[in-house]
Amino acid sequence: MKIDSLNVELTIRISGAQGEGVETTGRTLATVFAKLGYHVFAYRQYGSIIKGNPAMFYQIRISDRRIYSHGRWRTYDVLIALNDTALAQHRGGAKYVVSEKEIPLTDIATKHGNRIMKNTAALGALAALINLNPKYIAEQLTKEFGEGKVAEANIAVLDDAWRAAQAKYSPIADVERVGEPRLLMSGAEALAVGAVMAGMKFYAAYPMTPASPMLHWLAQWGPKLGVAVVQPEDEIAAINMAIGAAYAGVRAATGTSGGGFDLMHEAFGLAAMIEIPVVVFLAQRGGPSTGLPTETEQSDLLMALSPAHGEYPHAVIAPRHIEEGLYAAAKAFNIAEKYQVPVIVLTDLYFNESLNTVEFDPGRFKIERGELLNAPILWEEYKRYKITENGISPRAIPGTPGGMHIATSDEHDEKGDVITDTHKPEIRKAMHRKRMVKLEKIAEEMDPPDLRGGGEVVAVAWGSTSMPLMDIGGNGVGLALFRDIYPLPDGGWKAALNGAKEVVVVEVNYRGQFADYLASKGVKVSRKVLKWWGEPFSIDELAEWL
Amino acid sequence: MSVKITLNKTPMDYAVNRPPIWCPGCGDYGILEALKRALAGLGIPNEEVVVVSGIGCSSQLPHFLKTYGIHGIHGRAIPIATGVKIANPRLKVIVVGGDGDGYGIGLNHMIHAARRNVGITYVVSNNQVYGLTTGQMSPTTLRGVKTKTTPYGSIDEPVNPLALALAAGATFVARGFSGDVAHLTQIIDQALTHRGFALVDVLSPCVTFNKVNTYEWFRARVYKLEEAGHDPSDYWQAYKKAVEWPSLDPNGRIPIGVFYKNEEKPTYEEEIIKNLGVPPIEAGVAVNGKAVYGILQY
Repeated sequence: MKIDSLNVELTIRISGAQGEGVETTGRTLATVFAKLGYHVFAYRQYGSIIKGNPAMFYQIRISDRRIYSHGRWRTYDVLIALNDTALAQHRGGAKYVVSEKEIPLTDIATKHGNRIMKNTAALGALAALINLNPKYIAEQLTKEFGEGKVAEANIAVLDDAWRAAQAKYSPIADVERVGEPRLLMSGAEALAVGAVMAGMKFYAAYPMTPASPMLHWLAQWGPKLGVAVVQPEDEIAAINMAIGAAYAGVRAATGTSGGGFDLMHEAFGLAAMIEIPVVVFLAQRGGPSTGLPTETEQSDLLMALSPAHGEYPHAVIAPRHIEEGLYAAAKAFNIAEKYQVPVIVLTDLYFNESLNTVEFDPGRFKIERGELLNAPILWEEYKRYKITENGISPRAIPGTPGGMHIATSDEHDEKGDVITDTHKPEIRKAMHRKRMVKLEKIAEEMDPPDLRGGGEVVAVAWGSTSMPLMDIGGNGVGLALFRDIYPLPDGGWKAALNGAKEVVVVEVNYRGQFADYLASKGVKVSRKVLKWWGEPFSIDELAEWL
Repeated sequence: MSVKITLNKTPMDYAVNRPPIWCPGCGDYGILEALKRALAGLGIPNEEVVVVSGIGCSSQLPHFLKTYGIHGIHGRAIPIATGVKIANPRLKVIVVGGDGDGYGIGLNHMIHAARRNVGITYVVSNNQVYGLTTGQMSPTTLRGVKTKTTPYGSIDEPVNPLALALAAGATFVARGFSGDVAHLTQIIDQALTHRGFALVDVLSPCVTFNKVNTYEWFRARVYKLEEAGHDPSDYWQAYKKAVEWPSLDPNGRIPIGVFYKNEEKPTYEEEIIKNLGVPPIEAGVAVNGKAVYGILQY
């Protein structure tokens, strides 16, 4: 299969040691492009070490059309290599190289006071190579460092390197302003912003890659936006605190990765049992155990489908691209509150840590709180767990006169009283059914997969693997991209899939978890394309493997 | 001329017509009664009380109170209560549970709530045994005591909850005895009006599974700190009293009363709300879209 013909498209890979400024340089450059109106995607491949790992890389892709992924893996237009190992490891894939071999980056940096600024020198050289006016980079550096000596020294380095490189390179592109500045954000930031726009007022999370960036953003901005942010002693405390805050009547969430979510399972079941809405932002990384702490994977699907013991209703939503993270977070809160269930927003490292330009439309956020009781009620008559047809019982929050009740993890009656001191099968039957029936109602709110293009081959993906597929769609390969994972909605999508000649499920795990899940729902899966070694799918690989 | 009518609360106002399921003579009855009396004494409206518990005999207690509450999972009552208190600091948040729940599986949460000074009252029914699971060793079982899981006598050094709480920075540390409801009521009353985290460890005999630490055993040993001239503002004196316990001294006595009290330290929820402006519950789901948009401009 052939990749769509591309318009203006440039991929730059910056490689160096962790601690050498690769990430800051990358983010600065990505921001410059976004401000010039380009569509930008930035991805980081790194290791679990603070300083070292000489050939980590940051890949920035820009385009004048909408893009959703980092693009290619094996080849790129420009390599910026900040050390010899990085150069040796990545030069094979590059058309053009910026390194010490072409431009004396370290000398230029040292001349202005500190060799650490060689990453800025590399940006100056790149500016000459792609014919980008260095003033745009200078403006961004001033913004990041603030007016003063540090910014001045960096700009001097930038200018010197730009001049030196102009004598060396003939420009390979003309990077000019193409439109209004675009908003650039990471997946984690999209989730955080979406949660805030959804009215979240409490977030408790224990640090864990790749969930932490969401906590960082909320710790920084939460207090200015009315969100209480807590870093508790562990993940067990995190989810229980969120449950307590939700019980008290505010929209509350926690966030973690697989190992942290392992610890939350028991409380997740509690939330379902006592019918308290809580949202868990679960960002996957390579497992099991500590696994690949800084590399991506989609291997927690089976866990997300059934984390706690027993049977209970919940929902799983996996945003397909970074912009969708904004609105997926809001949908999660609405489902949680309307149905009084825990909801998982399932992402991964590739989603959370990558940057993408997005459209942010505040008008798209609708808050639906479900059946909340605020006015005084008659205690003698109030039944917190009243059996209803749709399984939803009006929820009184503390402070509401007459609404007193105990939410209990034991099986209980309509009033909320424990029934487990004796055998009461009729109450158990009715109460368990009441909770489970909510799943049927939630399914009606779930969207079918995004079906795109025709073709005899349909590539199926869920969550972030949609990102590279969206960049190659429409080349004779159809796409079926799932965001709403559990419960799956009814509808024509199953027939559409089964009508294809070949259904190929693409996911970042070894077993093909989503393929098995779809097969259990009656979808005939022909083939699986899998990857489980800490990389997202890239468009060059997909073009070959599909 | 308007007439202001104040209805005084009685313990019965917090009662539900559901009898507790505890064994006759269980120390938990004394704790339940003291709690109701203290709440009535303070006249706290029922709807403003949230009682959170974990799992165990004593964790059933919220079901016998006419208040809000969560009977959650084993050992996790304190984080739930922390979430409730931050979301709505106006609520009176009480945690009730046993020694297994709070000093075993959930001990870390007590230490962290204490150091943060979360404004909750933590009442622990300490019976030195696992009751609901029919009599196994608990974290406060004394050395040498035989239980189902220590048939040759416990070899574990028991936890000292009061010393731990003091070390963790708790601002109110007390011990009561469920065999003296009037005294326990006074302690809980002080705990409920304390600014910050309050631990009330309650010696609460298990009449079914603990044949060593009985009412008689405690009556022979307890004495009241306030009658012994103890100054609860003195941290080091409190610490000395906290390590006074018969497991260290076979002829020793057991102090009950308020060991330590410090109202100076700000509470966790005060610190959070200082930054937010208003408590989360009052902010509701209102969103400052303009502020969000402003932050996103880079």
